[in-house]
Amino acid sequence: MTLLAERRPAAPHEEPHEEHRRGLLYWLTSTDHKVIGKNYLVTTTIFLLCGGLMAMFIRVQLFWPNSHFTTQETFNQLFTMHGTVMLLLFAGPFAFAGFANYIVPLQVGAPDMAFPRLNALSYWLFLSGGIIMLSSFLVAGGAASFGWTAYAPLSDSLNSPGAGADLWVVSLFLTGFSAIFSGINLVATTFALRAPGMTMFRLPIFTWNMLVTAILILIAFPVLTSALVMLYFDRHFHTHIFEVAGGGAPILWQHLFWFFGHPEVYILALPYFGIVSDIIPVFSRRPLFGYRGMVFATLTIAGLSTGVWAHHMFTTGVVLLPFFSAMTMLIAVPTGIKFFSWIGTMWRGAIQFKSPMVWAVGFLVVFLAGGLSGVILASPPLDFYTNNTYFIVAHFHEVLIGTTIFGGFAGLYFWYPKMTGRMHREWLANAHFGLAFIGFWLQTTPQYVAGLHGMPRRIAIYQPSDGWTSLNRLSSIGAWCIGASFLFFLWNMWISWRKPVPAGSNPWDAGSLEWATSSPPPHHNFHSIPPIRSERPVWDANHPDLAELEEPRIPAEVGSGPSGNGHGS
Amino acid sequence: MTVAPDPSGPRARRSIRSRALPGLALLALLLSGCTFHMENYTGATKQGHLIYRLFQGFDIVALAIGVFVWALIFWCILAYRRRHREHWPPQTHHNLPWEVAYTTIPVLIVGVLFGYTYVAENSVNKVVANPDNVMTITAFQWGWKFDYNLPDGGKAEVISDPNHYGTFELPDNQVTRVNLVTADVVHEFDVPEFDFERYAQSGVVNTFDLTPTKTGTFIGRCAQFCGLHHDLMIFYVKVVQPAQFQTWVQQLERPTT
Repeated sequence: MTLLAERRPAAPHEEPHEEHRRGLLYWLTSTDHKVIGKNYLVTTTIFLLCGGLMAMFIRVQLFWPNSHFTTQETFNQLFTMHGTVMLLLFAGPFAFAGFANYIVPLQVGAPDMAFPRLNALSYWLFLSGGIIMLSSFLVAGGAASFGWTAYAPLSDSLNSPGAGADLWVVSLFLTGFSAIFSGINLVATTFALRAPGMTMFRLPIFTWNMLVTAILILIAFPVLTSALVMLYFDRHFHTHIFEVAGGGAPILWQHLFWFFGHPEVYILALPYFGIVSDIIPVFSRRPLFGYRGMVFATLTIAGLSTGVWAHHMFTTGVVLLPFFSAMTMLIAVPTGIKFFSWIGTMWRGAIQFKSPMVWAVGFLVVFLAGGLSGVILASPPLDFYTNNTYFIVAHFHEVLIGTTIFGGFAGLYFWYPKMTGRMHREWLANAHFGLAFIGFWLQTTPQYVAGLHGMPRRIAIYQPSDGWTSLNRLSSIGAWCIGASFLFFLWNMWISWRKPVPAGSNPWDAGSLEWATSSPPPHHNFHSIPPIRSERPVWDANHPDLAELEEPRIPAEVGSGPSGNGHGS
Repeated sequence: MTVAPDPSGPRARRSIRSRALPGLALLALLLSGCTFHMENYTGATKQGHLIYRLFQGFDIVALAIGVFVWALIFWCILAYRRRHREHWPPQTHHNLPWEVAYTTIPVLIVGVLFGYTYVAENSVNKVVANPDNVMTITAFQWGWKFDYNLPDGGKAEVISDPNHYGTFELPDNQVTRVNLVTADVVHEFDVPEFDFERYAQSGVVNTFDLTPTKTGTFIGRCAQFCGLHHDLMIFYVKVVQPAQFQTWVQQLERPTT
């Protein structure tokens, strides 16, 4: 392991300047999980803003019927890149590479990830892939314009000639490997680098969810990556894998893509469930209700998620409807368990509405709406009505905005003091929430109605006679509210950078191990670790009288305990 | 530090209730956004109407669950705020009976929903042995070709493309068998007022029956993104009385091949 010389503990008023000064070389060469985690968070947030900007343009185009704000080709490129950037360059890596990198080693009490150099490689692959993706707008013919799902044969060399489509494939190939490497690192770190006393059932739920997410990454991403290789071969070496004419099957692309694509949905969701599961107990001053149920619910979601891919293909007429329908509906059960665990944690608690909690409760409220329309879509006949309409668009934007924006920014505001050593401004974080929350409902609710009124997704132009004008206007205004809310976020970051308020090691009175060290943590994370006797070691240390109220849930069993690790604390 | 007594005395209760009012108003506002079940098309075919009825059932269940869970969340927000710095709630880790309940009840609900789904999807996808009419619909970039197999062995066709959105007719209350294919990329046959969509894919012939129950002209589209002029793949379907349909179909242009 290449480890840099120890940084001196944070002196919040001068430390950022210090870091800034020795920035570039440090940043380029670091294998510290905290530096890489922050790199990921900043990079993915920039991608979020890029993808969001594309969404703003899409909503401008749809504000008027018969609109000619963009050309059709540009519109097709915009929604293709919006989907790809948001899902594969923001939503996933923001959590499983950004938060996971920063937080998981701290939560398990490790000095770094298991493979720090692989971790750095993973980041640089991701950054290269992301730059390639965005630069595809600059090539002749523009970016890929076949939708983020790239259905064959629309994505073949005949229907989508041009370098934009190739860059799309290559970019996802690189970021796919980046994700696989992150997955390997997370699994190894969680299994092998836990501190003494940190049994599996004392891991914070965030780390549990990251472990399960990493396993799903290892199941799903190799499938996408190989499908991309096949697509590239079809495009350039005439292999006909997805062409009927050469004896191939276009439907195979859908199977491969969604066999990746549906676990991917849970790769996007589980980390944010984990974030919320960590936040709600802290601000309710209670332990997580039904911890083990939560763990098993996560494992069940992961297991079921590998058997639901064809619910994206109900209207193809070539999949076994009852099987995929049943599997999909069953996922509602573990998701429901999670909801009741979160509610059970708040029930009779002492809830303090600091900004992370506001965002987390916002997540509960908005994600429920997306979850319920998900159960509707799990029924094939109802999918026959709504497939590929704005009903679907509304559903997955509720689910994805619910998790990645509401869950993700809950996490960002929660751990921002830990990562930077300084507080953000609460009122700005709450204003960010308020505007995003209003925008969310304004954007998605009319989309459900437009979908039921027959508006297909991915159309650039509609007619006044279609009757979708006012619905689209509301939706556009909502989307712009969400976009504008990020100005509060940027302002908040700016203020906390210019006028730092020191955070201290544990500003939220939280319980998991990352709050036992300074903010930001020193180079190897911990000078000392408190004894770990529950999933809230720091809480136990700070509130010994309340810790006694705990039942001795985990007897000191033999054998299943912590693995030895390298940091010798 | 000591554990504070449960604050839910009669006085606290009253204040919670008075504070619950704005919360309930907010909840009502949110729910008013969820009237999409009123927005469904009722389905102008026999198959589509089955889908509509199933949708109603799902909407009711989804809204009931939604209202219940949202109410629990809003109740927590309103009733369990921290009262003072030394307010330490009971540190409950789990409660097995509740956990069993909130696992098994959703399983039962899902089971019922699946049962209704299974019955409905079999009826919707059922194809009869002897349809009254047979037609082939071919999707292409960017339009549609509607071919009728006439009883006299001849064929008749209607073409719809971006220069001229075509109209094909269907006889009311008769079963029309549709074979759906594509000439190039994946398309999706979508008549919103039939509550029905189906993919057209190369290598696959999708077969389904349409039994219109309402006369009128309905717009149809391509729902699957299929390239540059995806949004111009519009067609119309006109449901008419069977006799009128026969007259119309007989005077159609017959392809020479």
